[in-house]
Amino acid sequence: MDEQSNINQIEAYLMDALNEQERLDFESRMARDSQLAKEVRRRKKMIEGVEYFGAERLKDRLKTIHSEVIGSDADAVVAPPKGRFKALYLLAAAAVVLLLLSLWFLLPGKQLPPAEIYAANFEAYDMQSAVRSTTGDPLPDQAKTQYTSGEYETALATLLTLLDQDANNVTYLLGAGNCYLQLGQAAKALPFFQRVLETDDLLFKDTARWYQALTYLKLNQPDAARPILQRLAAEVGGDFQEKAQTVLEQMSE
Amino acid sequence: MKKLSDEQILTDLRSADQRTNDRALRQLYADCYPVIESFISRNNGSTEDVADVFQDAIVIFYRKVRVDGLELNCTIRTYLFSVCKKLWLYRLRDRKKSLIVDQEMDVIPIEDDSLEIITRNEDKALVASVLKQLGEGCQQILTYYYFERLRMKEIAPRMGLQNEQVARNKKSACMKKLRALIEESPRLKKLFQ
Repeated sequence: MDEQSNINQIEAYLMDALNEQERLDFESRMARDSQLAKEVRRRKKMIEGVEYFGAERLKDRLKTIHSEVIGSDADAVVAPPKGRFKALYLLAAAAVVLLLLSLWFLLPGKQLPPAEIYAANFEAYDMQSAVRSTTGDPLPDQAKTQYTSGEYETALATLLTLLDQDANNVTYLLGAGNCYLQLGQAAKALPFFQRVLETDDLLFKDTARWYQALTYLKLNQPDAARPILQRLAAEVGGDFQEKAQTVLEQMSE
Repeated sequence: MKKLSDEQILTDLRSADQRTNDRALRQLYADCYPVIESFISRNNGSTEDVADVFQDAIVIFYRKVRVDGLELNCTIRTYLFSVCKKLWLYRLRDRKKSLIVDQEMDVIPIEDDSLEIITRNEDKALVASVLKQLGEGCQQILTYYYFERLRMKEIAPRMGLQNEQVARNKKSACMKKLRALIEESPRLKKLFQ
């Protein structure tokens, strides 16, 4: 039996792909051949390691889903204490901030905070060319004008009205998500990017993923951003391949 | 979001399409998280404990569905609650604590073997750390094949590979690279003797 056939059989055994008779035959071979038994043990450890790695990756995906569905602790606002403890609380908070800042500047190989990586890489979605009214409805043009002139609050209201009429319009979804980002309400942007991913429109999915990843950075959730960026960076020739690669490098510096 | 039946959730989790899997996973979070949260937080658990235990339970469930072809005689909610309860009882035992309030919910027996996929040991962690040294392409294909249990004909289009034979060759090359890296490290080599 050549090496590859041997490996195939070992894997079929370990992955429960043999029928009862084949399994018994294989086990009897193993009992006679200590070298084969050793190779099976090695392969088993390798597969278990890969499975463990896969489970960790799934957990990264689940973290993203968790923050979308349940929300994130990072979004929660902790109410400061009232009364005479307030001054003490503020003093302690300031001391912690100062300590963290000092450590930040003193420690070698410091890492850019996710929010800074976000700021360095965020460019607002370009609605200029994407929105065009084909029905004579003035609202799409109005949304575009408001958005491109930086009136994000009013643009958001117009886009939400448009989404009431056309819930799966990816341009409106991306625009609304971007408005929330610009308005400093990053957690509210996420469902809009997610909705783009749930449409059948393949063209804008990577754009949505890109903004989704940036939003997680803004929310200080680099672990949620990383698998999305890795996916974009792995798409050879993809629109966001280089950008995602750059951000991943900044995250690991 | 349209509510999926238990049967549809199982079908979605068996799908080779990640978006379809994620739709089911989102529904599991929406439907089952609150009851687990209530149970764990009433029994000395923090918010992080709830998130960790629920995440582990989903990983176990996902693998059971995809690899062992899990067929349920109860609702998914009961299954997940039973797994979470078992995991939480183990954690309480490690912390030398016990259950304060039980939840009025049905449970089914969960065998310890089912928890294997989330159990960390030195060998697994070392192989996983070596795997990180391989390129993203290798990490992806090996995860698809061994963890997700996708077939080569499902992996090829997902990775932009020409056909399933190309995918098969790539997977073999990646396993060889992984093995070479393991053998380069004296510590790992010893573990693999």
